[in-house]
Amino acid sequence: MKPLRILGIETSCDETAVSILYASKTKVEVEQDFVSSQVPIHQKYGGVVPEVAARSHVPETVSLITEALGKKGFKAFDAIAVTSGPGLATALRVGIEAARVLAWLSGKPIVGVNHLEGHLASAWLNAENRKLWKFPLLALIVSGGHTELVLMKNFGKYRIVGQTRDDAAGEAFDKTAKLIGLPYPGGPQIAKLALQGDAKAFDLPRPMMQDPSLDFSFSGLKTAVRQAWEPWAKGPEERREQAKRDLAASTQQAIVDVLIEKTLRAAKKYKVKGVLLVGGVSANQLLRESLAKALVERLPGVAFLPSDRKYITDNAAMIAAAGVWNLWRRKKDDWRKLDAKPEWNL
Amino acid sequence: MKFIVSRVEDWDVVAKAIAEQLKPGMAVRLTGPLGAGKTTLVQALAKVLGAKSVPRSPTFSLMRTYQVGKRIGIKRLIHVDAYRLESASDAHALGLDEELVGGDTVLAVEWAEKLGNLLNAIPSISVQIETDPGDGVRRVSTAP
Repeated sequence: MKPLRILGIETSCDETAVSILYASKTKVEVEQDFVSSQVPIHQKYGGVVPEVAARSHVPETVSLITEALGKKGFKAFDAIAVTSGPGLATALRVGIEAARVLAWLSGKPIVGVNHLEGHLASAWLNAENRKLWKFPLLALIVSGGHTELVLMKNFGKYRIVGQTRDDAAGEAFDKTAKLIGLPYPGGPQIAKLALQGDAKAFDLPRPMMQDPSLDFSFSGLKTAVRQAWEPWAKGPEERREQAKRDLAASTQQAIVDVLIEKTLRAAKKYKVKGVLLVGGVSANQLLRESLAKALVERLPGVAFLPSDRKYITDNAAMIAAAGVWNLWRRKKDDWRKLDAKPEWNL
Repeated sequence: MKFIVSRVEDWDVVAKAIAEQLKPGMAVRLTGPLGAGKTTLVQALAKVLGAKSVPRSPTFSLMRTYQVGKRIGIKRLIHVDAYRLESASDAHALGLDEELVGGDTVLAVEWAEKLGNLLNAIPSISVQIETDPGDGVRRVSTAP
């Protein structure tokens, strides 16, 4: 486990991100961290503009790498980690091609990282979490595109023990928000409105909560929310706005209840020593607080290891961290052969 | 053809009818509001075509690829979701033309109307799903 200064590159979806991470046995520090978020553009259009995102990966990757390396050039890093999947092929290739060129020119090692392993590693960037880091661990990855329960037996030894069968949790937030007329992104909007709403006002389903598997299903919530909203949508404004707040609170509670129940069940089943909470939806305050509380009450002794808020959405520091995990286990790739793996399973 | 879908199993009937007409290089264009059942129908279609895994929503990833093998000549199903796309030109980032070159692939495209005339050159089956807020029943119509 020799000290490494690693350059991380992430372009798997909407974000372009570049980071430099220093890692030794005793210290892990994010030295440079740039994300050129597409969110302002998305808000303007009321949606996401993937083609704009994919196209802008090229100039943004170049400018962020230039910024991160600064005057040190190739001396700024010892190795390169790049997201090679899963994701959109055209977007992934932008980061991969940049990384391959850097590896070829600098002669330094390169490793292709799984984006989901990056999310797992985001929790490891926190020093408190590293102190409590004892395998086996369970991770709940929740974002716009992912809802997975991952059993981690060691670095590099992962098994997906539960996942969504249809929509991701973040997608459920965004789409139900859209149904009740809230702007993009829906998750934060629902959470904000929910603060003034009654979570018990609407009796929404908890999909698959009683199902013995550890899988999730959020697709049915769309129909449930649409049907619940229908009578209010055309009602008088004042009552409609309160109904909207109540429905936001009820929707959030339904999603959070299922996530927590399945996570606790998995943690118990696999007798894990800690639970990671990672991915964009882990910004949700109710989810964070409820999971922390549920662990204390129902599984005392199991550590709660959430990633820091700045590393929950797609970023390159987490990709660099996963790169460290790989390189310390002597796993690396040949730059001549590294290619995008759009459907790469963890 | 027209179908009434009132139970989950009914989607299998629709999927079988679509699969009967599906040939390599074709696209299934799905339209219908949020929560209509577009992804559920693609899941049923994937099953009929012999996919080993169950498709999940491709809204955020934009597209996902599945290996299939029950119909002659069809080896891949690409599940595309145009929900997040703002204009038809956005879809170029998906590289769909390239994906169809091999001649062994079919597309299932949700929110196909957002792709404008991008799919015009591709032989298609159009599937429209209508929802009824009262009874929750879906009315599905397909056209070549």
